[in-house]
Amino acid sequence: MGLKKALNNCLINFDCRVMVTDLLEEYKLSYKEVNDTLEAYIKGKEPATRFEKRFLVHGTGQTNGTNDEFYTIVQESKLEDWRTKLRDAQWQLYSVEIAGGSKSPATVFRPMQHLEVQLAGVERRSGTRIAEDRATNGVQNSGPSTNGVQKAPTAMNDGFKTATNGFRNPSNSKENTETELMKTSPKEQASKGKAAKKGSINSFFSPAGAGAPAASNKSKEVKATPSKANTMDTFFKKQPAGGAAATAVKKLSPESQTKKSPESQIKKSPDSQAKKSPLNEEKKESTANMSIQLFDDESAESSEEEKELNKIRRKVMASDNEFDEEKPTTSKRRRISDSEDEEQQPTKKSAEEEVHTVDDEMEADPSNETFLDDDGFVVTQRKPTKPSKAFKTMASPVNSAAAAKNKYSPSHSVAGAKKKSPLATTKVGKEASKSKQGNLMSFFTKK
Amino acid sequence: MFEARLGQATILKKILDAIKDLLNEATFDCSDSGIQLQAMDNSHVSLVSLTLRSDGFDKFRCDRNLSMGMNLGSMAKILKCANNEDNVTMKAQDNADTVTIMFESANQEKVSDYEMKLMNLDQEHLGIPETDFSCVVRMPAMEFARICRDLSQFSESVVICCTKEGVKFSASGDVGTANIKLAQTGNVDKEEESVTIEMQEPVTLTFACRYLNAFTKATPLSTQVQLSMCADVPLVVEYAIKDLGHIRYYLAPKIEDNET
Repeated sequence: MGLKKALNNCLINFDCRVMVTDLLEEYKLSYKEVNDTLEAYIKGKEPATRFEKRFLVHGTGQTNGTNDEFYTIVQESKLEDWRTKLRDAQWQLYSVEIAGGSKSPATVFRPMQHLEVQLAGVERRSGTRIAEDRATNGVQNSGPSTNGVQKAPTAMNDGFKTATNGFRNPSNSKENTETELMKTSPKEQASKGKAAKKGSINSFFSPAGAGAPAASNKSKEVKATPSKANTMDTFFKKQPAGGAAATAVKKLSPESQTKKSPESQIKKSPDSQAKKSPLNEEKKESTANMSIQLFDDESAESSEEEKELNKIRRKVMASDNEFDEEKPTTSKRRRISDSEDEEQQPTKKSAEEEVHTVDDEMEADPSNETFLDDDGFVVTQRKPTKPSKAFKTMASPVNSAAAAKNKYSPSHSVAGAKKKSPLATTKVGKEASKSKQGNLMSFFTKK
Repeated sequence: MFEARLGQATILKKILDAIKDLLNEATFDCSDSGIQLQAMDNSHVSLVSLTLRSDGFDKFRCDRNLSMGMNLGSMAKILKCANNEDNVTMKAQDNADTVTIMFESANQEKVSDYEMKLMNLDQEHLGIPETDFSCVVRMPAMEFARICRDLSQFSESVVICCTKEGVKFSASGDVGTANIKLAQTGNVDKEEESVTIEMQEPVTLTFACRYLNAFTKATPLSTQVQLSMCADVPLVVEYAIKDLGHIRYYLAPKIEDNET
């Protein structure tokens, strides 16, 4: 790639000092070509961007009465002075950079990296990586020394470099810190923002939470978990009252869970949560699997006759599952109801609260009737009605307990009113019974 | 033209504070004899009668009798704008619908005037017969206020029993009973601290604490309060306004309910 093309493609970063010797080495051009190309490029860019050019000045001057040959690198502004000072002064363009900033030397011709950095939104112009890449870039930093220039200018050049390097490091450090901040800003700023917000809130509301944001996060988590726990607690507490209905809505297998869940949840849940978890797993599983599992569980308990019945039912269930989803649920109901009649009547007391809401749905569910009619399981037909009645009868006191609140509430309110009224009447009544506020109009007459 | 000027705005402030709890609105009847106010509270249980004599004002001019219905809350707000030592002047034109209240600082450097809209209020002037009260108790106003405040914590009503021995304030409620007995003071150097009882016959009456406490808002107006009682007659609680007039509160007693 030629120098001109590289310049036109902005592959040379003039933010850093670009030395002509580097260009000579890079593009294998003569000095004249490089100089002319650079001058033409600078002239084209000059009005918009101002370049700081340094010139290598060669001449002879008198020091201590002797003629000495001088090689120096001077800025463009001081070039005239040196031309007057030195005899037979010659100067050549030495380096070019964009004026107005202290930049690190442009030793790296990897503008794409710079562009990438810019695209990344990081304002790092020359980082440590770039400085490291200088050596591997094929461009020599110590170009002046190989350029046939005396040591003095190289020393000066090194001085410049060291100076710039010395200046660059803090800038780099700053940049690095900036980049670090930029990198970490999204999290840290968020955390800081949160911390600030939390701090402000904590400062106002709870001094205990005014500590680190992590603590506040912990506190949040701690708060969140209890809230969940509360919700669960409330769920399990509420479930006896309305949980069966919720399960019925969820799975369309109210009876199965009404019988199963009340028994297992209300009876067994206090014993262990391991018995709850299978229930939950059963809920997650498909209804057919659920029904089979339920049958398996209960088959152990049921009698042999029931096993036979179960087999028949499974067949029917398998056939039902193909076209109807509700039928397995009904079968579950029947099965559970069967088992209830024979074995699980004592569980009614514990299950009554959950079931009574579902029983209405059981009674109102038409699939039970049709299925029962087709197969002729009269026993199963009874069960939805029986437990419902039984649950109604059993639940009626509980319902009365639930409705009891409704009933009690008026009663309580009445009692409260009675309680209040005596208090009020004790005061007011006594006074009212004893005395009554007179009216001035009864004493005075209008004029 | 009506113009009345008082040397100290604090008196008018105190008067307003004394009546604004009982009355939301009232009519100030202005005549050449002075300013009078008579109004009952909304429940018609108590009555406020204010009399400000014309000779008590620094300057008083009333060409025609004038009735100025005022919102006492608004007037109190205006009076709050006055310093206690300011001169206050009330001005109103004949048949005007506004009254101007002007405050002048003592050194006349600051003059502020406020104009307030007047109201047309239905007046119910009651004829208050002159009564020979069976008992007239004069006691420190502060003491009376303290008694009413204390007894109101026990009951809604206070029984005032006046005998030869003294006057007894009683209250009975759920907490218990409270009795405060004041004897007539013999020789008191300070007249404002004396308790005097003029009794012709003992009287026992029951009154609502709420109103009594409202009456005691006039305590700053006077060091002494006069309680005039007679059987089956409203209690009269009178606070004298020095050199200006008086404010009287009438409170209907609680009567025994024979129905229950």
